[in-house]
Amino acid sequence: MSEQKSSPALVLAAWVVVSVPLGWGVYKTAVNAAKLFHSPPSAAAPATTGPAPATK
Amino acid sequence: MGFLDRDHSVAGPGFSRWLVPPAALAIHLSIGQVYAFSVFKNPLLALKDTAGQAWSLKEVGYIFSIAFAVLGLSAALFGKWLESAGPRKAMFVAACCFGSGFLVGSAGVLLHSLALIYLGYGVIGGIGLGIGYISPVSTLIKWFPDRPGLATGLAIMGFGGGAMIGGPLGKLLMDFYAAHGRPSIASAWITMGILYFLFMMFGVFTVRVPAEGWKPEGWTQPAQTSALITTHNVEVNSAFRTPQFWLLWVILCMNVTAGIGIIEQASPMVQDLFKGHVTAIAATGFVGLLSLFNMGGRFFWASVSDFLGRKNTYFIFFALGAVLYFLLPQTEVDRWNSLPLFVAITCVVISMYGGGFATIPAYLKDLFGGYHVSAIHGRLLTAWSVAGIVGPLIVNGILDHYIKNHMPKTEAYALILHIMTGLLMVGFIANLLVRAVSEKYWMADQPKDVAVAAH
Repeated sequence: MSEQKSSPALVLAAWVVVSVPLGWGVYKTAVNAAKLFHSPPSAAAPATTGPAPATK
Repeated sequence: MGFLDRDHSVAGPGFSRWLVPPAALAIHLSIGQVYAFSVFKNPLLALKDTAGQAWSLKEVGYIFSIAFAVLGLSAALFGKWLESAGPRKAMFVAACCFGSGFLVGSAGVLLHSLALIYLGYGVIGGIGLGIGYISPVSTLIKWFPDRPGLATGLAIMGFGGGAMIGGPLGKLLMDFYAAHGRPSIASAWITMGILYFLFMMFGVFTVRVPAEGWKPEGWTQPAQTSALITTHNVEVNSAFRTPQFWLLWVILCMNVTAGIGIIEQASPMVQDLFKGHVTAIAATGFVGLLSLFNMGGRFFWASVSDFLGRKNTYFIFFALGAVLYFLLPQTEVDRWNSLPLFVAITCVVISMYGGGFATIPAYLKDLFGGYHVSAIHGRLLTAWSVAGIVGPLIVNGILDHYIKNHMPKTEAYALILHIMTGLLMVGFIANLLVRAVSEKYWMADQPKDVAVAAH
């Protein structure tokens, strides 16, 4: 019960600690999600076959 | 180990409550890794023992199933202990279990012992998942009595975000160790066990419980604004006997089952419904997009529920969700042929799937008070476990039937989505039936104020 007032820098640092890995994960996922919009239509390939080559 | 006791984690004057969500996020971002377990599936399938034997897909699949089953069980069993032990001790136990689960699992990989992997990643890690998932909930609610939805939404958003970190991290580490001639899975798991333990310890050291009688500056507990927001507390065993608990159980179960109907088959579904228009690579992008909306929905809907009210928020999930699920099959290539509409609808419904997870702790707090909310939440998570079994059973059962009988898969998806519409309507009715908890369940000797009641 003898703690000092939390400094704004400490609060900011705590948020940075969790935001950096989260931001990295979101970035990686967003890059992956972009494939939905950048991948060209396939030539009526069966749905469950292996990945088509990336052409972008 | 007195440092871990609740008494030693009471915040002093001037402690900023905004330090508590990062502590909670550190736990949830770590344990959310379990959602990315599939990144290890193919490498595990490729492993062979000295006799050249490999594991089957089913055997490897059990690792994930055991972890999730133990998550539900441990959340239900240890919730009451957590309330007395405090969040710091619970987070520490969660960190030890989750971290050591990786280490025991890695020994299983090196010895080619599936039993050891089940014990490590499945059972020990699963206990870490269950305790970790509920550990920050009641603490956050006590720190944010003015915005409980926002606070718990932030933490549970972390569980969605954890998969986004765990997937690429696992792959990165496996690639690194493989390039250096080390056993890739075992080395990756040892590294992840240590990293996650350290990251979770950040949460352990940072978390605090509010001092007796603490409340946000300038905030006064409002006089009863809604019959559904109680100023009383209900003990976990009493809550378990109320109809409200079971109505919320049905609400969570229906919402999760419906969401699984899409998540389980997202990649093949978009390829089948838009045959010739969506490549497998684009489909993985679609899955990534859903992950973003799953995570974002947790924060968005839980925060919005602070203004709309919990019951109205779930009405939106079930009413809007039922309409969208019903329309979804119409977007396919032979009908409306609208991929953008398909993507938009699925993103909205998956945001509501995530929102359902994140809003439920605040709904519990409204109905049962904050005193035992983590323990009650822990028991409610059995609905998630049931949905995790029922959802895939419905989806895979129908798809198998259509494939076996050479019937069009697009019709199977339409049937699945229409069944999910029905389940959402069941959820709507359950939500409609939610009333204030009867006075006979209230704790007689507990003060009304949530922060006071915490000690």
